[in-house]
Amino acid sequence: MDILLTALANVVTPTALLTLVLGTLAGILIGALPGLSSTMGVALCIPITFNMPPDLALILLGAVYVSSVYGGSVTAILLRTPGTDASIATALDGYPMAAAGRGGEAIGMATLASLFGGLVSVIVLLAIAPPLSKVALAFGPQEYTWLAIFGLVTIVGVVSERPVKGVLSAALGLILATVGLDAFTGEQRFTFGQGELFDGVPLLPVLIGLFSVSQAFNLCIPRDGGVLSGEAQRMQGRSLPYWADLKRCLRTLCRSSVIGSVVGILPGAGTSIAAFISYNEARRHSSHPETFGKGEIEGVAASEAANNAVTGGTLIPTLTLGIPGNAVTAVFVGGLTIHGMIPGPSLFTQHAESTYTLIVSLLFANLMFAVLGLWLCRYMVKVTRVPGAVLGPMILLFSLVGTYALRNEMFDVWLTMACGLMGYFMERWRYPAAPLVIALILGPILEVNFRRAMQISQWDLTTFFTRPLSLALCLLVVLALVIPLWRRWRQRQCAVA
Amino acid sequence: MDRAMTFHGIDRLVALIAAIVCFSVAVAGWGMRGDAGVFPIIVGGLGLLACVWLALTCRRAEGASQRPAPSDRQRLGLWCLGVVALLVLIEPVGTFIVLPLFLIFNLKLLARLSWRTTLLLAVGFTLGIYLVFARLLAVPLPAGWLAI
Repeated sequence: MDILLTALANVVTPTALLTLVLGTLAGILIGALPGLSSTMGVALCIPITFNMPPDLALILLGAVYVSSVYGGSVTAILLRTPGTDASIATALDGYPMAAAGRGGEAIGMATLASLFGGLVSVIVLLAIAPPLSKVALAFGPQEYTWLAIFGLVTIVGVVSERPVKGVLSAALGLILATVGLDAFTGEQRFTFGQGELFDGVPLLPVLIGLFSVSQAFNLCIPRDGGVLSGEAQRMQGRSLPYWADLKRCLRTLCRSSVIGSVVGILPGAGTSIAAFISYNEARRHSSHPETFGKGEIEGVAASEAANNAVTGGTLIPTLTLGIPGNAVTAVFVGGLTIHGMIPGPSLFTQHAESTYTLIVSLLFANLMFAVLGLWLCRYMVKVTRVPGAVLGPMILLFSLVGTYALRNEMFDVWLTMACGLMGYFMERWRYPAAPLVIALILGPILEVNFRRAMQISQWDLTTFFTRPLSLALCLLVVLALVIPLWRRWRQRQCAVA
Repeated sequence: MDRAMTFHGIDRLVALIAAIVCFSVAVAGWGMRGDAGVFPIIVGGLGLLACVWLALTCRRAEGASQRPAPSDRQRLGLWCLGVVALLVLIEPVGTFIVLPLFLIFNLKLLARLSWRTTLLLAVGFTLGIYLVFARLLAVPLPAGWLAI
C-alpha cells in the first residue's frame, strides 16, 4: 500500500502532470493520424526521455501508448478511416452514427468505453503483475528458455497471414541478436571489427528504423500518402451518450474489458483482434443483432472498451517476465532498458517505485485522454488532413536526430536508416517486422538461459522436461504450436465440405 | 525495382538471399570457440529451414501471382536523393543547416507547398529540434560549419 501511495505522490507532482498532459496530447494526435501507429509514437518519444528521470520517462511513454490507442477512434467515427488498426471495428458502427447526425454521441461513447476498458485493464495489471512477478522469481534458466520460445512461437503465428514469413523474420531477429561479444566466452561474433557492435546490435535504432523511418517512407513516396480522402462527418448532436444507452451498454463494457485484458496478456494477439472478438460477442449477446453495422452504439462501446483494455494486459508479461507480447511493448522494453530497468520479476523489487509509478500513471493517462479527447476531437479531424509528404520528412528528421541523441554516434543514424529501408520493403513485400524485433529482444534471453541450463545439466537436454514448471511451459509451447495448425486444418475441412 | 516481380518471385529472391545469410551464420558458428557457436548454428539452421519452406510454398500462396502496388519512381528517387544527401552532409555541414534544407527540398518538391509555408515549416521545425534536443536535452548535435 505504501508503495502505491508513493507512486501516487510521484504522479501528482506538477512536472509529472504536465508530462502526462503532453504525452496524452501527442498520443491522441498520433493515434488519430492514419499511418502513424502507437508503436511509432512510443519509439519516437524514447529519445526525448533519455535525459529525463525514469519516473517521468515512463509516465510519458505510458501516456503516449494508452492515448494513441484511443486516438484512432475519432477518425474511425468521423472519417471512416481508423487512425490505428485497433479502431477498425469502431468504424463499422461509428461512421453510420456520425452520418446519421450522432457523431458527438458516438465519440462520447467511444471515449467513455475507452476509459472504462483502460481503467479495468490497469486494475487487472495491478492485481496480476505483482503476484506473477513473485512466481517468476522461482523461474530458472529452463523456464526462461521455454518462456522465450513461447513468446516467439505465438508472435510468429499471429502476425502474418503466412507463418513462414513470420518464422523467417524471427530467424533474422535471432541472428541479429547473436551479434556482439559472447557473454560466456568473450568471442567476437559478427561484429566485423566495428566497436559499436561489441555490445550487440543496438535495439533502439532498429526499433526506430523499422517502425518510424519506414512510416516516413510510406508517407512520402506515394503521391497521396497519408491523405484522407473520405467524406468527413461533422460532430453533430450531443457530445455524451444518453444515460439509458450507457446502462444498456454496461454488460458489453464489462465483457469487452475482460476480453481485452485477457487478449492483451496473450503474446501476439493485439488490439484489433480484441476489438473484433468483443464486437462479435456484443452482437451475439444482443437482442437486436441486425442493428450492428448500421449505427449501433453498443458496437462502438464493445470495440473501444476492448482495444483500450488490451493496453494494461500487454504490460503484464512485459513487466513481470520481460517477454514483450507485441511490437509496442517491445518498444516499451527498449524505453525501460535505456533507463537501466531490465523488465522481469526484479522490476517489482529493484525498481518498485518507478514500476508502480508507471502503473498509477496509466490510470491518470486514461482519465486524461477522456477529458482531452472529448474537448479536442472536433479539431483533430482538421489535423488529419495534413498530407503525408509534409509529415514524412519531419518524422524522418525527428527519428534520426532522436537516434543520434541516444549515444551521439553517427553509426546509429546509419543503422536506423538501413532498418527504415528494410522496414519499408518488409511492409511492401508483406513480411511482418514485429517478429524480428521481438526475436531481437528475446534472443539474448533465450541464448543465455539455454546455455546456462545446458551448462548446469552438463548438456543433458532432459533438464528442460524434468522440472514441473518447465514441463508446464513446454506444454504451453506445444499448445501454441498445435492450436493454430488445428484451426487451419479445420478451416480447410470446412471449406472442402 | 520490385514492379516487374510478382510476390512469389520476390519471395524466392528473399529466400535465396536469406538462405545465404543463414548458411554463413551457421558455418561461422561452427568455427567459434567453446559453446559460443551453438546458438548461431541453431538460428542459422532455423533460418535455412524457413527459407526452404518459403521457397517451396511461395507459388501456392494466396496472391502469389500479384505484384506489389506500383510506387512513383520519380518521388522515390527524389526522396532517396534527399535522404542520402542528408546523411552524408549532416556531419561536415552541420545539423542546423542540413535539416532546413532537407525540409525545403521535400516540402517543395514532394508536398508542393507554397514557398511561404515551406519556409515557415522548415524554420519552425528546425527551431523546435534545436530547442528540444540542443537546449533542453543538451545533445551535442553535429555543428559542422556553425562550429567555426
